Amino acid sequence: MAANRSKDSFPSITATEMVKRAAALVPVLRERAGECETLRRIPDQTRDDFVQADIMRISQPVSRGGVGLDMDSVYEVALELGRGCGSSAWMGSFWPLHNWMIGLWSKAAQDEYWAKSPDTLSSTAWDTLTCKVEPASGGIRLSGHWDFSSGIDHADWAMLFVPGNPVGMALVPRKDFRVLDTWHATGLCGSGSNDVVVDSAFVPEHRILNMENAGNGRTAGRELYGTPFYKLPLWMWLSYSLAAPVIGMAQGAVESFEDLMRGRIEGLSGARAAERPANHLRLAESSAEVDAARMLMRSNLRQLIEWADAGV
Amino acid sequence: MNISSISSRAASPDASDWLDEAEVAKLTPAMLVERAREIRDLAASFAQEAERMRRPADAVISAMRRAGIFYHFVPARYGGREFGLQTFIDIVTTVAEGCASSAWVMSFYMQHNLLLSQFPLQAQEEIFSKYPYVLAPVTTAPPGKAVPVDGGYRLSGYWKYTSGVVHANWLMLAAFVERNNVPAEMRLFMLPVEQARVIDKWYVDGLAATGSQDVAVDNLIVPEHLSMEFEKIRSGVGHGKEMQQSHLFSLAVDVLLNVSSSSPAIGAARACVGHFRKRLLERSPIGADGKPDIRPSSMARLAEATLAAETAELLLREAADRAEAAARARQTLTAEQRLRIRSHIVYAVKHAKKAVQIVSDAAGTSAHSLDNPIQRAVRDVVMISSHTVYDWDIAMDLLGRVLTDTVSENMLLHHSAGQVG
Repeated sequence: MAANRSKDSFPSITATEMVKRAAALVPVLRERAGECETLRRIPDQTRDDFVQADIMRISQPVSRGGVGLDMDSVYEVALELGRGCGSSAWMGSFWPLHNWMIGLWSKAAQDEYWAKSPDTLSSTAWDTLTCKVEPASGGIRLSGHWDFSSGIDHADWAMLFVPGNPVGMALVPRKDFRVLDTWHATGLCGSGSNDVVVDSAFVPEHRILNMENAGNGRTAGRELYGTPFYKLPLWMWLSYSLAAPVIGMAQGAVESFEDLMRGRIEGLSGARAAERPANHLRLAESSAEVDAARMLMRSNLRQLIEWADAGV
Repeated sequence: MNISSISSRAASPDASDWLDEAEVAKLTPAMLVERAREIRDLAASFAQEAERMRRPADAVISAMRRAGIFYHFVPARYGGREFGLQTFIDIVTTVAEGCASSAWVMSFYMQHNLLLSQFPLQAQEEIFSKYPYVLAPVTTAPPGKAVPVDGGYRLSGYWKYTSGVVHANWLMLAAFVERNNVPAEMRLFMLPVEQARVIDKWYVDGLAATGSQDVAVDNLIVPEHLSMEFEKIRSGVGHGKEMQQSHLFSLAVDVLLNVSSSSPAIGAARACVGHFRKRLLERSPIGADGKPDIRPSSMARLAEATLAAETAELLLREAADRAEAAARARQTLTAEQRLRIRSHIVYAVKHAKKAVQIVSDAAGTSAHSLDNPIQRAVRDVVMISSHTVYDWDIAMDLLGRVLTDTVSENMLLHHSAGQVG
């Protein structure tokens, strides 16, 4: 697959091809799911597999090494990955989102972010525990503490929510933040959603994103790239980044339930669970629920893309 | 291995923390409930560590022993107290407020002393003369194999989910007796815990601290008197009522087992709702009237979760009362009557699960941190609900069949047998 990663061949990559690559990873993710939970973050091997499969680059701007697809393809991939491992799918959805988000920043910030490699990774932190902003020449001096920053252990950069008027997001390189290992959770155990701390780091003006403008779809990304999702207000669709892997996880649970029921002989009675009508109902109802969730998401995304194309 | 060598290998009693006669005589229900509160707080302080160890904390089991909890159901003729089911529920739900895993193990330890009284007198005399109480897990699934031999049975099998095995001194294992190479009736066999191999496969997401490991026995000779027909134990018509005065020894054992296994869920749900209430009070901004300004939707959730937890407890207590009333009247309940009572306990557990799920839906991400008692209660209650007797589909199918008079005795047997342990 590495051979496919030359930039020239990317235009041939379709959403279908990306979903196929994600499907090929599902058995591997299942196998590593326990290890991922024990590590409490994504195994390096899985991160590398995502890089190799170009998952990180799905919606990355083409001029920055992206494969030329948009966020709707990210969600199709996340649906697939979710069948294998929830935490991995969570990051399989977030990493490409973050590389899409970088496109919202000023050109100067993007140049810095992608200076070393088109495979640069980042995480976001939205939940601000403390935050101190001091004016500094050409930017701000930032200190703060954020929690729930999924995948932060693998991040070269962090996008940190900065309260204020207007609210903003600061793009901060690895050398300027620390990670606190706090992620001991009952679910998404492997997402590595640790805390981030910044101690008095200088953030130049060009690395601060005005989130009010981003929320309304007025960003550099719209000017520079103009693809459908850069035209849409962020808040209209950002939550699908969380929903898509969850729908995939539900699909995986339905599949696991089906497998379990096929093999199960019930306790003392010796009856086959696969023959119990109640189990048929549970299976039918749960798979219909997941199908409905997937269809709702796809139909909403289609509507959004139509609006973006129509320039509404 | 012959029978006499077995009896000489009996578990060596650890007498260091047994209560003396005067101390046992002074125990009252209120005193045990008071001590249960102390055990609750101790168990809560060990809850996360015990989950990491995947077994109950030694200090917590030790505190239960020293508190005299395990004399509760021991026959008075062997020095026990014969306290009733409502006190039992008080004690177990209270400890479950701090740690459902600890309460789960304690509940079965307590109640299996009552089960032992259904065994032949010789077994009771032999065991209770050396031990003031037993810590004896019961496990039935999958049933083992017992072949009749001179003076007893040759027992083999591999049993799963032996809750309490970590701190046990005895074990009760179910097996089908093979006659002419065909499995016939099911019996329960008692053996010192040292005679079984323990296999630790307890890696789970709920009741994680119970240490409910697997056990195996290969061609072990168990004397006749240390075994008992399972069906007679289950319906409470073993040797208990022949020899003991109290109505407790006429109780339908399958109902009793439901009380044992549901009480930890009820206590955990009660505590979970309490933690949620505290969280709302502490985390909401203070309004203009100086009171916490709690979101209306959170208020509604708190109210609904509280009602669900209270309903669960009422259902359980009422079911226990019905079983005790029948036992007092020396009435032997039919399998169907017992199922009707047990269905109320199944419904109680459903309400406990509803209570914790309402809380879980509203308590936010930080409630899922491993040191937060809310998430532990949610996992523990969901785990208890997964127990075969609380499987909603199976339970409703069975009750439906009882209501339409289309149930078979075999179905009832399988269902109530599945819950032991």
